[in-house]
Amino acid sequence: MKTPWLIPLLRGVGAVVAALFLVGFFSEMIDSEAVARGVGFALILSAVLLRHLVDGKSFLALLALTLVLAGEIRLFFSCFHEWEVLVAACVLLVLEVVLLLGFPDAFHRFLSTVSAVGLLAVILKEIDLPVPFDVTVLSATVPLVWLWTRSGRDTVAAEARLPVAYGLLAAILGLFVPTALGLTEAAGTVATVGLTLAFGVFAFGLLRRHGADREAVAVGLGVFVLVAFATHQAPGVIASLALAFVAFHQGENKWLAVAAIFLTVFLTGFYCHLDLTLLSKSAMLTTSGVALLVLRLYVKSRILTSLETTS
Amino acid sequence: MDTTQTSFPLSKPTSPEAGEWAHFLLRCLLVFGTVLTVAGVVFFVAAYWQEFGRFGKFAALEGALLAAAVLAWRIGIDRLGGKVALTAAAMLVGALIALYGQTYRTGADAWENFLLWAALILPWVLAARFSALWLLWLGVANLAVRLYGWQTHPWDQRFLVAAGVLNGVAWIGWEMARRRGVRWLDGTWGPRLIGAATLLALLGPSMTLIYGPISGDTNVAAGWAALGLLLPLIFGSLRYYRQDEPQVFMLALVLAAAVTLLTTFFVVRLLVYDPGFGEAGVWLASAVFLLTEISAATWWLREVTLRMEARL
Repeated sequence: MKTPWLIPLLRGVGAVVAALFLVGFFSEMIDSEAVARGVGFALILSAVLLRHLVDGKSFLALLALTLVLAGEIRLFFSCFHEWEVLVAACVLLVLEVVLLLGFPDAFHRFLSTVSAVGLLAVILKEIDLPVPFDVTVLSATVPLVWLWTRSGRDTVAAEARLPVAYGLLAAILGLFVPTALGLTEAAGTVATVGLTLAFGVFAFGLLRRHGADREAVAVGLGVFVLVAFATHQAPGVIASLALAFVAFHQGENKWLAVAAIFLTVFLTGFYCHLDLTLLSKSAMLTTSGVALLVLRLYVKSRILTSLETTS
Repeated sequence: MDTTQTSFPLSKPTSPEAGEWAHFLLRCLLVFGTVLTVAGVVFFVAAYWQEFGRFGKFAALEGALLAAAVLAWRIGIDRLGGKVALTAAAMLVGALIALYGQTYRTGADAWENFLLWAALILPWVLAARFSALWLLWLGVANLAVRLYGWQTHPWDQRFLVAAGVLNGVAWIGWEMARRRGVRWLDGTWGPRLIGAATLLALLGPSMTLIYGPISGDTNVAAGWAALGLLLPLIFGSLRYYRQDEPQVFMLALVLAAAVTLLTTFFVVRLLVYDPGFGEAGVWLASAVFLLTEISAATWWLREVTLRMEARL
């Protein structure tokens, strides 16, 4: 039986709230920002040491998680308050990567990954890179696909990879929210192209490995590319579809539900911000809807019949 | 290292069978095809809405409602397609009520419209035996209660308690029906959703009661009522989901509510009744208290999980 995900979540959220209490405690005790940074760093160091000395399920492991979170919160506030944004983001990104490797806690690895991707987006934006959010999404997609395609035989390594993969996924979906809200500085076409390629490679390998016939693979990937083309301004749509595919493949119902929610949000955002008249939107929606229903009839007649013949 | 979570889902060695993939694909295509087509019709109606005239608008909406109801009847409400069509018809009833109110300026408050909507679709809800439609109905009923509260007594928390009671009855009813073998209520996500809504609705007034000495809030009766319902619900759920219907997810959810309640009580107790502690002392003591609670809760949940595993 797997540990239900709400237990680590309960533990993690409890640690975050306790860390905020601790930050409140240190704020009452310390006036100087430089001392606060020193205390933040000391908290992180002591937490890393403590975590390596104790069992992962113990009270002390929870205390270590709380201390590292309190230290990070203190450092984040202090660095962004006192230093230039670019310098603060670079320093904190290095810190997050070091903690990702050096602090063996699933919840923390998830948070560190999300923070690292967020900080990368800030850095790329600060150095005026073209399409910074698209580049951030693709930078997070490459390790995510690598993690997905790795073999899962080594369970110890797998436990370390799982929260990182979930963190990358959460960060990618989070980066698409500004696009769904219609903000101008958001991920767009470049991210869609990259995601489609990455997912195409992953799905193709998977389908071929499971012996799917050429026609099914061609139809599946063809539909995926068509959807990507139609919704190229809203990369969240293709990302949610890819997530639904992977979630079903892994039998992960909670991720399937997350994919359905994000798909609804991103599709709604996409249609709301299309620069078209209501009538054109109506034609587009109806055509896509009818096309999907026709495709369903095709799948039902061709693929199910071939499956029955095979069995 | 947590040995109970050893499989890495992103690299699970087995995948669904080809048939399961095909059925998953068919279901997705049905749902998205229907949603996009219906949205297209809605956008079409919206494009010409101003030019439709009163009768045109009613004809469009009633036509869609009738089409959905006939479709449900033709497919049969025992099949998924029929249930989905009936759910669409139930949603269109809400749109029709809104249009009626807007056109004839009935002066009805929003909560009255939601109440009417809930009352009108109830026979369909009973007939469909479809958990998603039940949840839609419960959502509409919740909105009626909450809107009534907001519009008549904006800061009165009795309506949160009322919503808590409504959801609590639905939660207990769902679980009882499931235990008696009602197959269409078999899924676990319905009770989880309703359970979370119940606990949230009752936690609000309970915490306001505890914060009372600081905030000066006067919703004392609602607070005591909520607390009086919440405590037996917490103890009852812990017993039920541990012994009768083992579900670690629900136990964790209920424990989260209990931890929230206890921590709030502890913090307020220190702030109000032990001023000598100082603010820094209160933060530090609260952190230690919360960590102890969380540690105990997760330890107990792991023990329960192991016992459930041994029983399987």
